[in-house]
Amino acid sequence: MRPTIPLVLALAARAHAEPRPSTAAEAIDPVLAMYIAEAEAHADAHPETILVDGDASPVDTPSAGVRVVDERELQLTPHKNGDDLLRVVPGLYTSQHGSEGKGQQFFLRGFDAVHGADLSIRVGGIPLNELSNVHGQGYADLGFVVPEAAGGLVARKGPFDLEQGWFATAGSIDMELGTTARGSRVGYELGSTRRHRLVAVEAPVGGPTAELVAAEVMRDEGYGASRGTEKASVIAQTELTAGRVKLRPLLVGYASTFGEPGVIALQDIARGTFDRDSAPAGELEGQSQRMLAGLGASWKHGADEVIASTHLGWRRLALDENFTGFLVNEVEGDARRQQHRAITGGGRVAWRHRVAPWLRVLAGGELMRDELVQSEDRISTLGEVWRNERALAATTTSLGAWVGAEAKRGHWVAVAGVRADGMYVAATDRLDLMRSGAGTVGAVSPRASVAWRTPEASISLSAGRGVRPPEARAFTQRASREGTAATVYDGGDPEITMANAVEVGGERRWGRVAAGVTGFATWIDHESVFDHLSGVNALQDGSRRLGVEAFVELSPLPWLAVRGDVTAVDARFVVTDNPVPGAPRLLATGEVRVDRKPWSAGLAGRFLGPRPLIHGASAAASHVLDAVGTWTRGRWTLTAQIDNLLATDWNEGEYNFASQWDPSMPRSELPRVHISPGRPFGVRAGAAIQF
Amino acid sequence: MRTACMFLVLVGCGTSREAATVELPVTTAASALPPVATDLGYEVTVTDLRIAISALQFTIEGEMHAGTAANDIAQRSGATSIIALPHPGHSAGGEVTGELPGDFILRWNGRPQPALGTATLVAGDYHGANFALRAATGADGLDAADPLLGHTFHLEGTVGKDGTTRPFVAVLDVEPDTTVIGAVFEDEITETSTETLAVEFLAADPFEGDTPFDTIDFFTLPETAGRIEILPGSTTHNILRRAIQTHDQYAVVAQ
Repeated sequence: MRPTIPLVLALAARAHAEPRPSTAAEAIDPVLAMYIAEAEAHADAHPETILVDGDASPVDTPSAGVRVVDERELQLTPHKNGDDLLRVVPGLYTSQHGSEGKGQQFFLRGFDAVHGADLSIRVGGIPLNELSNVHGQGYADLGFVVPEAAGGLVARKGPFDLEQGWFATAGSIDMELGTTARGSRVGYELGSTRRHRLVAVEAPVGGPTAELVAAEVMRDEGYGASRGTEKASVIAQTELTAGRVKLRPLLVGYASTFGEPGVIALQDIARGTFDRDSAPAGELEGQSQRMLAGLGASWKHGADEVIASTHLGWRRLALDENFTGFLVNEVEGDARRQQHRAITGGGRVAWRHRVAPWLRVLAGGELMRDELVQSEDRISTLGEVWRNERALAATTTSLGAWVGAEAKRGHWVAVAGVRADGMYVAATDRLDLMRSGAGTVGAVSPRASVAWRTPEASISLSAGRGVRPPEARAFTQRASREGTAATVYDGGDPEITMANAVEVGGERRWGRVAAGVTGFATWIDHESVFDHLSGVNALQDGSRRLGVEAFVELSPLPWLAVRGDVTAVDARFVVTDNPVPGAPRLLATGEVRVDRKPWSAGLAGRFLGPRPLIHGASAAASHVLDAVGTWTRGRWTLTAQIDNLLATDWNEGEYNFASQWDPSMPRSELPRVHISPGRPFGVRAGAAIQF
Repeated sequence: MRTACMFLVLVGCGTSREAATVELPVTTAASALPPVATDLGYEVTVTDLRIAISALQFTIEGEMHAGTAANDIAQRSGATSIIALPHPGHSAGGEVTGELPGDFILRWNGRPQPALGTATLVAGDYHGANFALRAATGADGLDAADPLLGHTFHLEGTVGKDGTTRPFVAVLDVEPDTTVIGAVFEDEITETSTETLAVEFLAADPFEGDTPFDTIDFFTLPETAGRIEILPGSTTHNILRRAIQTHDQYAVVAQ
């Protein structure tokens, strides 16, 4: 059974408090003491825990939609790469419409978060969402994450935590890097898709969990045509202690090349033009590269603690894609080339000051500077550029600050405060300098959570606002109105999209069994969507999302953990009452973990109900079961992973739009359903040796 | 019943399903075009109007805010749909959800016209129509002497002012790839819809009252055989062309 949030926080507090004599200011309140007792009672069941925000006492925002997953649970989750580790987040559906190496499409709580527009993701404390990425606002690429280096994650659904910044409209995920498996390891993995993966991990014995170097080199031909991937990634992180200060330097290097097969129209499959393994787009491909340096720091003295981090990164993404064939241009085809380069730097400071045993004041700020150059061109079937559609250089200076308080008294916990986010954007349109422009946007987000908790039960109520920034292109000047009728919409100013959310949840624990249910609602008054073709900021009507989540987890034996959860959401636009396209209405997952040395195994199943697509089409329901098993003896560990154990034909992604791949068919602009096939049955076997 | 259906939708092992469509006949309105008054005081009556078009499309507004209508945005971009290159998860799908592909000659002369064809429309709430303008060819079944051949518009009618009435004819060309985007088409289409869709020419803007003939001083134009002529190459041709190719002059109605 995974530790519940209060349990983990208690462990974190205890881990920090133990080495030093406690003072009155650091005294553990009775509720915390109960959680510690609970933690000790289950110490064997979850020997590892992760410390939110490093070593200092985390802010205990008591919202219900939070799940903490430790390193061991991640390792026993069937996974092929770092992206797959996010499957442990209840209600999160990820979809790949390229191939391994391209950023995932995320769906959470009724949001189609595209590539990260509504889901804030941090790894090692560093924000991954890319402001104004040419491929999509908030693009979050987890390709560099070596799974063996993932030390755990915290998923916070909803925008209720004061430290959640841009893109946390649906929620946020913080993945920690580190490992408790100390020593040197080298492993090799061979997969049925001609996958070859070499991984090495150096985690000095006796060193802190966060200290490791992990590197992987991988080549995979993938399933079907044009789904191959080649990548190399290295992550190096250590932890230094100097007096009361702990420093955590991090270095990341990553490069990958991956196929861009396109998506397949069901009508073309039925007609025999393509099959599920086809790559309509041919041999197009993408490239993703990243260099990243980060430094985390924590300091605690008396009633004060400070958590800080800074980061500097270089990023490149290049995508050649074609999803519509020859619909728009019958001769050259509709392929496009997107290129994006950015240098991003930033820092963050969170200060927590205990003014009374039951009360802490919280304050913090973060600053980020992003300099990007991006372009989008139309390319021919030979890969030659035949039209420039977009060329932009932009700098974004983003600032966020929050202030609030955390109170714990008796069985009550409350965290409340307000957050302000703003950004200044200067955008240079390199195709038309006269259209270059600049602007500032800002938003204030009140957030509050209150909970009544005992070791056996908890009830919480949360409310808050999440924010999604406009992209840099939206700050370019509007085109001339000459020759345009006065009634034609000229676009609005770039705006921050604000999502107001509430959540109420309860959890009950009976020994080794726990169950909980959470209801949530989110309202967006209107969305500012930059339309790349017309060059205007179009206002999209408001939307609302109503949903419920429930989970059950049990640990009937010390080495056996079972969990199931289900999320049902009704997401609609308020004016038309149309459903939000693509957003899952029903998503259920089940996990079984066996951890009895020398054997361990994990089984993960998912049922995705039918999803509404745009214009009244619908995506199929699907169910997938994946498995992982390991056997360890001495220095050796053997691992087997099975994708799609039941060998079902399932569609990872489904979309409804027009395309024209078959020139013999009459040209039509009517939308039709396209699919991105899910992983077929596949096996990966690996061996690792520990030095 | 609805609850039961919702439950089945939620938990049923449904398969992928294309959007529901319906096929509806399309024609041009049979009624005679009413006379209109121009800003210069002329009364213009079009007795016969023909336009060479292709690819009639029907669009929904989608989730765009009122006043940000998709058709307006499309017109701003000069494209027939607001998203040129659909991409999974990125506003997937243009707003075109109905179409009648092919080349057609639209005609309004006060008499019923043969159906242009059968359009396929996805069920939905429609707000606009688009079509492309083109030059008429022999493939349209025109005689070699037909004045529309090689041109896009052919208008015949009368123009009167101060008790004087004269016939006029106009032949107009358009620039390549000219499209009419956002003609009014307000209709809720369902799987069981059976109406006929009729394309209308609006000789006067129903909201603002202006006409495509505004600013044209007819009685100063050259005549041939007693008939005022507006032909390609003249300033008047360009004025009339610019006005008559806007979406304000067209509508599609259900009959």
